[in-house]
Amino acid sequence: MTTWWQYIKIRCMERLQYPKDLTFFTIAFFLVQLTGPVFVLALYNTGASIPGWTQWELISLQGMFSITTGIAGTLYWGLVHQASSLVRDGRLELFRIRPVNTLWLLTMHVFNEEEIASLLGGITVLGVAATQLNVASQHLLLTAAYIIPGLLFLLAVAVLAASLHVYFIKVPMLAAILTDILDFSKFPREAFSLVNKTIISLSPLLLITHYPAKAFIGAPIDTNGFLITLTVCLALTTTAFTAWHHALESYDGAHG
Amino acid sequence: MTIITTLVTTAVMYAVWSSVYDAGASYGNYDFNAIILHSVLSMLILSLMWDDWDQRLSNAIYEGGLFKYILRPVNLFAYAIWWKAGSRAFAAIIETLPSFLILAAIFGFDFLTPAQPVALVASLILAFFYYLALSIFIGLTAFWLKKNDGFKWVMIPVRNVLAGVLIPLTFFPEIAQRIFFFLPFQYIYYVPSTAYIGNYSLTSWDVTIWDSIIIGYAELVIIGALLIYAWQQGIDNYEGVGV
Repeated sequence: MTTWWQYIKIRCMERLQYPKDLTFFTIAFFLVQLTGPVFVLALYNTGASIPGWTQWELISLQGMFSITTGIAGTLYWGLVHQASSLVRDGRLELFRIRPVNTLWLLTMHVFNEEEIASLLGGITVLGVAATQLNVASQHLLLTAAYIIPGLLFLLAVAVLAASLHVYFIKVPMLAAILTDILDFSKFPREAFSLVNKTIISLSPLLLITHYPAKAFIGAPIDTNGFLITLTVCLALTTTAFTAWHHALESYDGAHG
Repeated sequence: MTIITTLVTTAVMYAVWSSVYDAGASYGNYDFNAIILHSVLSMLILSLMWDDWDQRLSNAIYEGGLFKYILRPVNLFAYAIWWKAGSRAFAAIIETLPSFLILAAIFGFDFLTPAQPVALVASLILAFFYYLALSIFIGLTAFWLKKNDGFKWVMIPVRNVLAGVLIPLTFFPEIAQRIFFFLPFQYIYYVPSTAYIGNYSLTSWDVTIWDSIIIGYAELVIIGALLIYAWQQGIDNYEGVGV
């Protein structure tokens, strides 16, 4: 943890060498988090709506997306890109020869200070939504508890993606496709039609926003549905870490 | 990559819009078919318009390699236009056309037939230049900011909202639409997409798509002059040391 903290401090000092650039990055990541609420406000402005969700409830879900992906982006989502870059350059050995767990070392290395702005953007959006919805304080604690499985799911996806990069060396589309798939979680389960709803109900994507947002607004949570998605998430996490272990064993440094 | 991401994003938006639109509903001048077409076109048009001159110019200014452009016996802006024309012609064949054919197989060719073909061509040419002008503008900010990656990232959400990529501009309140009308961003996506769909409308003013296109070409001349001025100002102070 000390090494990690040192790395974070060095990263931040490096970025402060170009304060204007860092300011613009912070504004950019903050603004990106506002596009979801802008979409919802524009949508509801015309009289359209997503069934079962009021405007501010849906905005709170968008804020939840920013918070969950902001935490993951700050701490470990960079694994997806970093593994690709290291494997293709044949530099993964530099991490493997050190007397520290390779995945942990990589995770330290992918700390992304820019994503803190995403997190702050999400907190701002959620804060505004909370004042509009009169959210009770006990709901905030419950929300924090429900965010944890979503973070675990994103970690599993990042580790699985990193493993695929080690296995196949060149999978350039993977990060873009994963990011696009995550877009499904920008909307609640009710936003999907009957056929899609069955698939979505099994998907851990709901853990990222749907269940935390339900907890936030104090709506009843479908416990069975939550347990099913949690089970899928735990299975995926086990698979991801097993895949990473096998990927490292099969790594030959050939790069490409 | 465009093909897969287009399909995934279309699937998300199709599912969401299906839940929003009841049978026969219409919001902001868009019925269900029009809004799906809007989502599909946003990816096709942006992939057709994309260029990386913001990154090229930024890197050249930041690293001191701008001289390779200055020393060439060709105007930088003309070079950028022809480079982009070639690059996008190639992308149209290997990215946009296959994506279009796959989407046509899913939704049907009738669905993907442009409503106003002449206006579409005129507005796509306009979009080509506006996107490039925005890229060059972002690139030129490196003269003053040195490292401008952050500014480039700021412009992405700004562009996506103001150009109507995120959601059609007619979904916004009247006052916002009036502001959008005078900004150059609508020419990057909103005008060509509505030329395709055939439902151009912005503000409660009685403005046709052709009025908008003519205003767009007039604004482009002014924007071009401003870019040339910014380029000259930047070059006057450029030392080429690199950082």
